[in-house]
Amino acid sequence: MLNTKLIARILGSLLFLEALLLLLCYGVGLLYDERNPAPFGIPALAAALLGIALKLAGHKAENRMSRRDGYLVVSLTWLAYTFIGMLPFLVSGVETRVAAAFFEAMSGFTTTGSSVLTGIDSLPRSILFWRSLMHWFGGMGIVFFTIAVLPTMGAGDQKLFSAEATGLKTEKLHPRISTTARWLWSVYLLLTGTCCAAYYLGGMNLFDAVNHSLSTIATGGFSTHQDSFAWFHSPTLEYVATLFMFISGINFTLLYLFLIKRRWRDVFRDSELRCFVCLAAVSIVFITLVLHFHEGLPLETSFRYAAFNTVSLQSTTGITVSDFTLWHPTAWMMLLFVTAVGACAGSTAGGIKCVRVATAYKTMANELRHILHPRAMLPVRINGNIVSENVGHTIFSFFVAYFLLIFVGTILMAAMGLPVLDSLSACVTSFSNAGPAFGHVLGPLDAWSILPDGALWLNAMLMLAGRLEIFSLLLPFTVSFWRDN
Amino acid sequence: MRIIIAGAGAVGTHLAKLFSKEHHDITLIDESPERLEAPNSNLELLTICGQPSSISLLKSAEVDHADLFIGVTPDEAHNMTCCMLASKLGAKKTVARVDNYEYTLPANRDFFKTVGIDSIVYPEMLAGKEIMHNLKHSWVRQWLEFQGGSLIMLGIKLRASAQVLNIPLRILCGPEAPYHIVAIKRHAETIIPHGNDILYSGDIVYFMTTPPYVPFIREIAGKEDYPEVKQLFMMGGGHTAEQALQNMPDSMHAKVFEADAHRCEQLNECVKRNNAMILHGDGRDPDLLVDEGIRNAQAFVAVTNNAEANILACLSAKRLGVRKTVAMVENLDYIGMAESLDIGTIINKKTFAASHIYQMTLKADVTTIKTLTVANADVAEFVVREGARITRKPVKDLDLPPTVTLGGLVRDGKGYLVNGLTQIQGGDTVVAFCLENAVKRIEKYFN
Repeated sequence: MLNTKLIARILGSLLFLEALLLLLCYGVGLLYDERNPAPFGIPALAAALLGIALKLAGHKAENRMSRRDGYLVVSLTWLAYTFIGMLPFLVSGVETRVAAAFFEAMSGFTTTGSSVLTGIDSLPRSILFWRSLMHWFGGMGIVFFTIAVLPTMGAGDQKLFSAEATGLKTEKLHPRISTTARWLWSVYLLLTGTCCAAYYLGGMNLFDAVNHSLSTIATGGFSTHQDSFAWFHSPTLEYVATLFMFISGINFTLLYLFLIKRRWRDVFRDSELRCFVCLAAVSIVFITLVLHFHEGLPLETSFRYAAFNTVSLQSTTGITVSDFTLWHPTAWMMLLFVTAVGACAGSTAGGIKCVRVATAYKTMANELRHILHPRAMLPVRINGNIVSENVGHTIFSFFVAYFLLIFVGTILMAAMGLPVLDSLSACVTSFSNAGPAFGHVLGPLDAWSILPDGALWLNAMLMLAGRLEIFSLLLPFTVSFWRDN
Repeated sequence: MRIIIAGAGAVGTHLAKLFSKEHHDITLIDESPERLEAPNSNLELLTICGQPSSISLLKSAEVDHADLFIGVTPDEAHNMTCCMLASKLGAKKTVARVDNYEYTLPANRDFFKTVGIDSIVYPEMLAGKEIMHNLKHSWVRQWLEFQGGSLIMLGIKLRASAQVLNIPLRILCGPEAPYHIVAIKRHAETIIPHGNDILYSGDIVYFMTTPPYVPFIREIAGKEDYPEVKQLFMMGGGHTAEQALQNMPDSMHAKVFEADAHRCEQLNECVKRNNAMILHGDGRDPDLLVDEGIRNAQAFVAVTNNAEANILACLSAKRLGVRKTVAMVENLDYIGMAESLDIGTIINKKTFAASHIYQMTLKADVTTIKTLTVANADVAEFVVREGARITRKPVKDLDLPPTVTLGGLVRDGKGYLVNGLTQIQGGDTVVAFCLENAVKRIEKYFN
């Protein structure tokens, strides 16, 4: 039994919030003398009207939220936000295809950073800011933000939180979810502020610094320039970006422990962080060697490119400085691998997440030992704690669902006439919310508008699946979600 | 001394037995009349049936006059509650038995004092540490360190390969010898040796020595071919096993066989070590042992709750080629038998707990007291007071009881062996080897 009234009421309040965000972009536009109210006024009005309608429909809702309601609210919120979020692109006329506008908005909210737009430098400032804001807002989670600021959700907070949060389990910092959410958002704000200041000091102008910091900390990938980071020609900025992308790939709970509680030992002993650092280090060293010896680049440049691209893709930010498809194919495969794995759970990054990969790897290693010692009870430990069998099953199901989605996605893309490598890499990058594609037709610097509508819809849904970690999105599509009580 | 013991389990009755021999006034409290029956009829003590945590019961046991209150029921929370109550009701000292490693940490000692628990005993931890200690030096039966290792006592079983056999001790070890033989265990008897005694193959000999001479002892005892323990097999996954694993050095690998699947999971939860593998199976199954490579193991430790099973498992491990075996034997009557069956080291939790608690009843400054399971003797460290009786004459003229021998002394952090000519000074720490509870009798020499 779904509590439709409550769902409507929550959706209504969330849409009001989106209307406010759209008005904020209009305000930013005014600063830069973009006086046309239509591109943001119409979507804001739409969001507000829909919000009022839903609020009315949800009048006197019973304050009782079931698990299903939680999942449905989260899925519907993301879809509703994306549908409203694509309107500015359509109304302002920078994009005419509905599929492309939807793709752009989804790419924004899920912090993917793939763009269908060309000539980004000439776009209105308000539109550029809207793209960055979508990233920043989606990075931590739309519903999660609402939990932090709105006290009205009541009893359902925990259910909403677990439906949207990434990773295996949600570590609470505080007995109350809303306090936890506020702390995590404070860390998020602090990082964004620091990143913005660092970019500004590193030589960006204020507008670029703000937009790029929103995009970096959310591990999004939208830039204000067609050439992305290459436009700045500044190794300093590239190093700064590498650092901040790395930090945003770390579990925010750990960052909280590190920055605010100063429990450094816990942080350095974290298995997942170690896995993240190890994978990144292997990839950086490997690509540095490939670039230095095979492509003949100087050592510093090789290292900088290797570090920037590895961290950019593993943290699933997807900002680019160079077209890595021009390098030796082994380097791309390495990058494709780190893209698929992604960074830590509980961060703004996407992908399979290091904790799942680490657990799966340890399970496999144990399985081999188990063949030699059939009577042994071999526990899989993460951070010294035994991973329960249930969690193991969840991870297994996640991998199965992941491979099914990628496989089906690749087949469908190939059916639309794309080369297999392009199809596969597009699916992986969309699912991981990274952004750059690895193909011959669709390279890391190309706009995705060359794809047919069907491929855009498909990839947009893959992004959402990746962002909500498959199950939250798939659940409302299962029969039993609607049928049994 | 007036002593109240709460809990008439294995440790409680063992303590009651020890103390009643020394003419202390003992009150034993337990909920179950059946458990009180045997001590009540065999020992000289008072029993009270009831909840030891009841205030009215504690008052009626005259806890306000008690010198020592001992909480040794199976439940640690219960023990701690009893101790807190007893201490607030006027008991002078309290001891609680616990199951939690955290409570034994020295950092928490003062905290427990403030709530009224003066001392904490964790028998399983003492046993576990002892097991690991033994395995680190697998060629000795017992290895005791005094004063941070400045003096060492080694209990070694001599075989035909030893170089010290069949020579009278007055020739073998003169005053200049780097070791001192403090006791010999021959068959069921413990001997304090004199100059004319001779060592035979099959004796367990207790050497007192200083650290540089340990390899020399190993050589003269003919134990040089003993391999270092790298692979360890352990049967039973109880609390003792858990504590042993926690104290295991990183160079060792352990395979633990536990028959209860649920307990296996618990062990995995609490033993967070990569070098311990928990297997669900019976450690007495030779096929399983061979399959898991017992032929590559240097030691076998049996620590189930069943003494008979432990002894038999150790024997079968010996037949499979393991040289070092350790068995936990809780039944004191079996210790002699296990010893005669050639089980390397025998561990008894009860005596560990008892010697720890016993220490609290001694008036002198005894820093540690260890009970040797096999030789039914105690080894105690005494701090010598200025002007005490023992400092007035050289050792040979002191007229010490024949059941006591002084092994060595630690002066300014350095260990020295004691011979007849040694003059003991105030401030020294003396290690004494005492048979049959003679600890009490030599106390007066040190005060």
